[in-house]
Amino acid sequence: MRHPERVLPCGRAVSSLVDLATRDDTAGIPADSRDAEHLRSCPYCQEELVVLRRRWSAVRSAANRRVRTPPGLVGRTLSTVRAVRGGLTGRHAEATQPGGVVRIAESAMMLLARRMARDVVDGLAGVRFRSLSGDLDGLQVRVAVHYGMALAEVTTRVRHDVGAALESTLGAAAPPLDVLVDDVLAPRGHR
Amino acid sequence: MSADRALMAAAAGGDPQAFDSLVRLHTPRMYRVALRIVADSADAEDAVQDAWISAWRALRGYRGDAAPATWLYRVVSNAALAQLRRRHATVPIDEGAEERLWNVDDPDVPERATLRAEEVAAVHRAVAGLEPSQRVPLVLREFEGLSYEEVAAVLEVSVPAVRSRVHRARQALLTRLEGVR
Repeated sequence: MRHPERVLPCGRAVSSLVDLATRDDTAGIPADSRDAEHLRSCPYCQEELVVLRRRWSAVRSAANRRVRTPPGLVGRTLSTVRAVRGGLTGRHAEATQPGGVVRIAESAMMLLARRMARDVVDGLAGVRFRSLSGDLDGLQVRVAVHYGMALAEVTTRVRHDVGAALESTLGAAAPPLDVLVDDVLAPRGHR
Repeated sequence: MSADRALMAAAAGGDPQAFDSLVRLHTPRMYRVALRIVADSADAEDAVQDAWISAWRALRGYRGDAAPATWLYRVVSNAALAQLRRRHATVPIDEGAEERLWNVDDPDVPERATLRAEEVAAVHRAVAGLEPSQRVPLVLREFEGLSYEEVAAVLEVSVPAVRSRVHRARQALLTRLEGVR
């Protein structure tokens, strides 16, 4: 959404001050800026610049904050990648159907299973998808559950719904599924 | 050849251990970028995993035209954008949880730290409200500290286009931060 242009009483548009307010090399009016003379003497521009620079300092503070990597993320990512990569060794899932056999490459099966598990889990209340790992012999779906949810109920629902989705697509070739709760999230909306 | 280029070359040749090393080295940065784009920790994790799957599948086509860091920024930015598109069809942001997410260690006195934490949370909410076409270049330029040329290389657009998008993003962000005094 575009906001209407705000114009100061001196006739300058606020947007013309944005680049100046967000420069990090000086707090004053650099000699090379357009309208330097006006900017130095105009009280409206000066006042607006102070406000914009104060807001921009909050952006700088946010940018300087360290972002903590969630515990276990590298391990979960490696498990996910290895599951897909492992499929490049040539194994196939097989499902016998009337009239023939369907073969699904392990890498394709893992990608498909990951997307299906994510879509199913994220459609359930109080639980978030974290990762899917494993191979043709068995899958592990990891989830995070909001505090206050009944764990047994949630994991049963996840196993049932994800398992049903896999079976509807892969038939008898759908691998067995384990559900792991590896994080508890604060209740939604709680501060 | 840089260590990253050597690892990329080995991984592109099918060396899984080299790829694992890249995952270990770059996942924290990939997560940081994804989190700042999607503003949700679970979605950011998912975007990072998708990004590495995409990277593994695309590696055989990597010819070293782009620096490894540029290539990985591109992969994770695309994965984060895909995650944003998915999320619109699924779950909303949990704003309360996200505010706590950004309230990481602050060495300041408690009152000042609380004020700064609120400001930081306000900034991240404002960034999350930007159009994705503005949000991604803003995150890369202002939060990751990339040059305009580097952002242009990541997004595969011209430098003037990046300058224009970042300018509009800064303007929109400052407007959204009117409550910050």
